[in-house]
Formats: sequence, structure tokens, C-alpha cells
Amino acid sequence: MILENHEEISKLPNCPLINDEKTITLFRFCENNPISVTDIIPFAISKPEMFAQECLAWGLSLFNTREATVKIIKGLPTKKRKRIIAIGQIEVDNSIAVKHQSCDNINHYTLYPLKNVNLISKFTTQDL
Amino acid sequence: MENIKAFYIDKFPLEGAVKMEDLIFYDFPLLSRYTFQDKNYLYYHVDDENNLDTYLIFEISEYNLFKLVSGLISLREAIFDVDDFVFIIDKNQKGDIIKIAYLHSTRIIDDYLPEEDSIIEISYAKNSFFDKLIKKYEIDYYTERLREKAFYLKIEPEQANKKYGDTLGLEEMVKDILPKITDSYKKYSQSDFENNFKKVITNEKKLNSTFNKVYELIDYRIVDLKYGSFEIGIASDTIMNATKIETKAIKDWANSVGNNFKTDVLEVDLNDPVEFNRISTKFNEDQRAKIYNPIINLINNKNINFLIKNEKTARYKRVVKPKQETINKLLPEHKIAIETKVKELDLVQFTGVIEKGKKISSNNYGLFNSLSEAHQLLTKETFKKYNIDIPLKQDIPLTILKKNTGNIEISANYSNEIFTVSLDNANFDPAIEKLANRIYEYYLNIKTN
Repeated sequence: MILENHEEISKLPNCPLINDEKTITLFRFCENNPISVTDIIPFAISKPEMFAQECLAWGLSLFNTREATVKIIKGLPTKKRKRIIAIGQIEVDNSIAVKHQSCDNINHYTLYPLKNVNLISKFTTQDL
Repeated sequence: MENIKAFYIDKFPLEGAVKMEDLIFYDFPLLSRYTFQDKNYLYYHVDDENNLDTYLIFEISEYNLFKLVSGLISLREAIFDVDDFVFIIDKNQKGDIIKIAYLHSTRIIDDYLPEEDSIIEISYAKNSFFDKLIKKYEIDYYTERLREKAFYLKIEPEQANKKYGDTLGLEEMVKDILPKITDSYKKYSQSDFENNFKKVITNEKKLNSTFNKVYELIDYRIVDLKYGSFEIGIASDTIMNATKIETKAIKDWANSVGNNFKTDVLEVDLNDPVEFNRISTKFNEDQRAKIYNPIINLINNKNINFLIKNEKTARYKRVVKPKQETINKLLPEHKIAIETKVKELDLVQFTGVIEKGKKISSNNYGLFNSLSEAHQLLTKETFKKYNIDIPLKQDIPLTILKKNTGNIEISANYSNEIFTVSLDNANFDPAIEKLANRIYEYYLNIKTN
């Protein structure tokens, strides 16, 4: 399985962690409906100086329930929260991405898209 | 950062703070805990315009951190609880701090604040910092929450009876005053439970057993205590109840019964006709007798003042004394509270003449007609009289009760066991002998075992 940004990711130790093989429905909040490419840019790309060496920053954050996603939105400051207008839903199997549970939140997953996968097309987006 | 009214400084005072964990992560850390000089700080990412990352940084106490990660307060509440200065910093793309503002927490602009119900969800490993933090503070939190909802009772000696200052005798408190309050509460909750659930739980045995299970959970918790005059803060445990009672209707009832007892029994002014009607509708005569008798007894106790207040900082007020006419209406005539006093009585035997064949009863003689209840003592000498040798640390109090049927009931409390004999005439001697023998048998049993 070749990941998007494979070259950079492969330089980082233990990155990504072991793939969770199960097919899982995951959610991601976004600033556009339908979800757009600007909603799925990893921070290691948008802020390389700060995050290029962070494995998790090469992936995207998603949650395994809509409720958990809404909880995170409520934790955002007003200025950022106002920009969030929708939640995207995606069925993730091993043909799309590598994923694993991460961070101190059992509902949080980090997803690393596979190379040449049109991730945007896999999402369905609903207004918040 | 936004153009905000603040003090701007050149040097960041928390230079060297060490990052510990992320509390919110979404593509990158949005909320993280840092430590600096043994204090905890939260770094909250609030803005990302103009290629700058703006963070709101504030100190958080361990206790608030515990509440935040336990979901007991929101992130917004944690920020508002700072009551001190907070920092807002801008970092450039390299992570260098390029602008530092500090301002009072009350001046943080809404753009930089999360929603009211911004509850953090965090999973922590065993023995991690948060695991230890939660174990450290959860008991304190439980007590504090109960204390917030507690009401306070105060028992103090009547002004004219302050022989020992404000202090009260332990025995009087433990054996007389507190049992009256707990007895009233138990009867109140039992009656209220019956009234609420007898149509749902139609089997009486099941109704009683359900109540007994729930009663253990609704017992008031003591959350504050002051000695001298006796002050006690008590609260219903709505925190544990929430997890231990499954049926919603019973859980709702259990969560409110403690407060309802306070309102209906301790705070109520029964002299007010509206309140009187409310209570009369809520409880029948028998229930009212069981609930209000102990409390009226306490209020009528001339040696003490019985006071109540709604919260720790409020002022005490007297529990309202019902007028005699109110008591007469509230309680059935034969159940009006009588303050019994221990009296030294001697057993006497009468020799009389009655019509041949007529049955003797106490009513024939008017014996005990002036008393519904009296007390005397069963002494070592009494046992000796019946050739019983029993070691006694102290005399055993006897309670002699005239029943409505005309029968007389004598009971004794020996080693926390109640022994009762009934007699339908005024011949006490065989009854006392029977009682003495029962106590002796019990003594031999426990001695053998």
C-alpha cells in the first residue's frame, strides 16, 4: 500500500502506526459543503516548518461517531467554529486509506489516504 | 491575533514551559497541557489567520483540571474560572513567539472562547497523570457537590437551659433528638413512596422490598458538622443515586424526596391553611401521625431550639411550631404527640372486690387511663425476686404501653433486642416474671454461643 506523501512519511519512524483493518465509518467536520480539497490538507503540508516531522500531522483527524465530531466542534473557539458548516461521512476500508485510533480520545482516528485515491469523492457531506 | 485591548510585553513569562499532553487534537494539537514551575497551564489554539497561530494561555488549578477532564465543567467554564491574567500569543510558521499580550480573563473576546457546553472527552491510561488526578480529587468533588445542595439543622440548648454553655449531651442527641429526625424522614419517604408507586407496584411485599432497597440510597449524607451547639449539614445523594437506580421514575423520586422532606416537614408552616391542605391531601391521617409526631415532639421540647437553614451561608430560622389547633386537625386524636418522660414508678398490687365472674381489665379500674405510655426499670433485685441470677451493667428500662384494645404491653430493651409481653389485666407480676425469664434465656443463649 503506497500512501499519499509516501516519501516524506516513510522517513518518519513508526509512521503510520499499524493499520486498523476493519472497515469503519468515520466523520470529519469541514468548511465546505460538499467537502473540498481545502478541507483535507494535512497540517504537515500546510505548515511544514512546524509539523513536517510529526507523523500524525501527515494524516487527517476523523471521529467514529457524529456526536464525537460535534463535541470537538463545540470545543473550538467561536472564530474557528463559525467557519465549520458541515460534517463529512466516509466509509473507510483498506482500499482507501490506512487508519488507526490515535490521541487520548477513543473516538479519534488518524487517516492516511492511499496514493491516487480521490478521497473527496468518497465523502457524503451533511450540513451541520 | 485580533486587535484586542491588552497589555503587550516583549518577553514571554512562561518561556521554558514543558508540554505534557494534548487534550483536544484535530489534525494538530488544539488544547494542550503545559507545566511551568509546578503549575499547570492550558494552551488553547484560538486563531490561525495571516499565517500566524494564536494561542490563549491560562493557568488552571489541579482541581479545575480534574473537573475539566472528568466532564464536570466545560472548557469555557474553566477559562472563566481563571480570575487572573491570561496570555494571548502569536506564533509564526517556525513556531517563534512574535507577539505577547496579557489581559484579565474577563476581557477575553468571544471569538476566542468555546461554546457553553464545550465538554472535553479524553481517555487516559491507567497510572497516567489524568488517572492519578481523578483518583486524587473525585472524593473531594463528591463531598463538595453534596455540600452545595445541603441544608443545615441546628440543635442548641434553650437560653434558659445553658448550664453547659452551648453544648448538648451526647446521649440526648444520639438517643432522642437524631432518632426523631431520622424516624420522621423514614416515615415520610416510606409514605411518599407508597403514595407514588402503589398503583405501579401492586404487590405490597414487592412495594416494601423495593422501598427498603431504595431507602439505603436516599438516606441523607452528612457533609458538614459543627459541635458545641449541634450543627449538621445533610444532603440527598443524587450523585450515587444516578448510577445505582435504574428505573427512571424511582430515580427521579429518590433524587427529590430528601428535598421534599425538608419542604414538607421541616420548613412547612402548617398554620398556613394552604400549606395545611397541601399536606393533608398528600398524606392520610396515619401517615401524618408517623411523619409529624417525632418532629412536633422535637419542637415541643422546651430544653432545645430546633433550627434550619437552606445553605451554609444562610441564617438559621426556627422550625415553625404548629398551633395546638393545627396539631389537632393534622393528627388523629389518639395519636397526638405526647412528650414522654422517664418516671420512677413502683409496681403495686391492688386487692379489690368485683362482681363474681366479671373479667378484670385495666379499664375496670381506670388504671393507666391517665397514661398512654410510661417507663420504669427492671433491676437486678427484680430478677432476684424470680430466682434469676443475671449480671447487669445497668438497670433495664421497661416501656409500659396501654394499647387501644385495652391490653397492656410491656417491653424491655436488653442488649439491643426488644422483648415484649402483653397482658389483658392489671396483674403485672406474672408478666414481669415472663419478661425476666425471656431475657434470662436470651442471656444464656448468647453466653453459650
